[in-house]
Amino acid sequence: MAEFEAQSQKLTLKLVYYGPAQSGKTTNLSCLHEHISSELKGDMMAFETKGDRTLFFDLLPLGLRCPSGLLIKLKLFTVPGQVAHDSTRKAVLSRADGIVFVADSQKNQGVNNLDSFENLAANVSRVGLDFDSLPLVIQFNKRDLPSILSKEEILARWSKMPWPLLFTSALKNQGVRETFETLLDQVFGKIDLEYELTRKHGLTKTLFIQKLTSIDALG
Amino acid sequence: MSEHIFSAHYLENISFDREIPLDELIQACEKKTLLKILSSILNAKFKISDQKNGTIYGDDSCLTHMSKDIVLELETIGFLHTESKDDNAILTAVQCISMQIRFAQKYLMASALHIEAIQEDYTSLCREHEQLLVSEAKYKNLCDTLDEQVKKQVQTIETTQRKLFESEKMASIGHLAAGVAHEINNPIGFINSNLNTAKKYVSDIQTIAEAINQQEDINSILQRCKEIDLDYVISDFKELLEDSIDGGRRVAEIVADLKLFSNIDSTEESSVDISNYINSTCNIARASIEKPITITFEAIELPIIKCRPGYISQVILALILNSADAAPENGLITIQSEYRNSRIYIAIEDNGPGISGDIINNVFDPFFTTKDVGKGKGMGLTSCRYIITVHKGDISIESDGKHGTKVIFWLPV
Repeated sequence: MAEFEAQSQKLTLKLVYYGPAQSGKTTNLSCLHEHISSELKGDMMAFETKGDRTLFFDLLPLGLRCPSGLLIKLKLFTVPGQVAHDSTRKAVLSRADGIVFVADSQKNQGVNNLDSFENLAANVSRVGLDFDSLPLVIQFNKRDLPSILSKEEILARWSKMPWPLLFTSALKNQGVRETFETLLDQVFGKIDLEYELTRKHGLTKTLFIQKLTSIDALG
Repeated sequence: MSEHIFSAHYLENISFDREIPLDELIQACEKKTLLKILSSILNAKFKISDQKNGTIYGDDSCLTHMSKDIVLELETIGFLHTESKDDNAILTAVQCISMQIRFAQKYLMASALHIEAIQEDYTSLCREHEQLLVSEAKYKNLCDTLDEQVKKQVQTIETTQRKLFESEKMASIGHLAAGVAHEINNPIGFINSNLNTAKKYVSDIQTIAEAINQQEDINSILQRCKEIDLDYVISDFKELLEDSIDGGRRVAEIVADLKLFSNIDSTEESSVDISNYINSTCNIARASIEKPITITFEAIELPIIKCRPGYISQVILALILNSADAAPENGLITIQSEYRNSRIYIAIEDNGPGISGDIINNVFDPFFTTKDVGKGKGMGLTSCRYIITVHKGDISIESDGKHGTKVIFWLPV
């Protein structure tokens, strides 16, 4: 749920990268941190432990200023994927404005993906969000690995779902920005009217996405 | 969502991802070390203020010569004011503060999240605990009432069973009563009639005695004797008395047999010769069975056993009556006894049609009967087995389904 502070003219959005353990959530954030040049970009805060496992969360702050002067701040979080950290996952998930579900394309991860997705759906309702109207993008990551499910196999299983589905390789910086853009597209659609972004603050969807994701010339 | 609600929500919000104000971040730093480092870098008075320009750290008397933004994430959250004029030193100091508060932010966020997660775990544990208590109470309640319900059911079953055994006992006593009534009624009937005749004979003899007393002449007395046929009266009188004595003896015998059944309710065990009881029961059975049937029992010498004879007599009577039902007209019921291996075996056999193999296993089951509705309750053999089992013996039934049935039971000596 976006937080709007009228006094300081600031709107804060929370986007969460969810998914099974070691599916590449942190890599998604690192990739965005390295390769996109948002208008405003903060340092990435990471709690990685040995073996590349996220302990609490990772946080990447991004932002933009509307023509009206309104600051829109996006906090991109990852959750710890390991099953045992469910309470932490729930706390990170609370008040989310949008979700990227990072699934692992490897053949032996089908069950983990499904379990994690069911866990997402359950936790979304536990923290009082509406799963049906929550902006959500599904990303099948690790397309660069050899032993993965084919796109056809994945589509056969997941395409009946109403959410956009993308194939990525976060380590190779493929599809991460597109995933983020797809999510931003949905999120903007949901908050535009409520906060009068287009009408009052002069921020169109195109401008919103552009200001947040324009490709870093150096990246 | 109105802005008002939002700010209220924000005040109460202690969630890990809130915006942490600068004073809290500074509080979380190692302040003494930070003071030392900043003093040595700047080599001049300095203070740190938040966006409202309230001093939150450093020397309040510091005159602002130079102010620098302190940025966290995307925004300026405070300022460093210093009297220093060294730009490089000021830049280094700001970098140092930024690094410190970034660590402080990380630390505060992680600990807040940790607390949130722990509280969530605790809350869900409490919830689970509560649910467990509820379900435990439910099961305990169920368990308690289940126990009670089972006890009640057992009681009902026991009561019903006792009633059934009682009614079975009454049925055999009814049989007994009918047989005995007939057997006593018959001698009583002819004794009664004999005595009436005897009364008339006595008054006849009295007239002769009176004539003798009045010293009537001998011809007149002889005439009277002839009139009443005194010779016949005397011989018939004698016969009447003998018959009556015999009838009395028969009644006495039946009463003696009956006595064996009189202790049917006695829980006392007594040491008895089972043959006597079989004999008596045969007599009673003979008396109560209307069908012409021969019941044979050749008593052999058996050891004395301890039992409740009333109950054993009931079993024997029930088995004989069953056999009598099965036996044809002029049929035969044979009772044999045997002693071996410290057991007394009693076999009761009839020459009826037997019991077919498909039902022979059911005959001891409660309520199993082949008799017409109203004639048998199906508890006869069940009662027999119960009584024999209580005596620590056993009962079995044999039949080829064609030539009669043999029921054998044994009792331990």
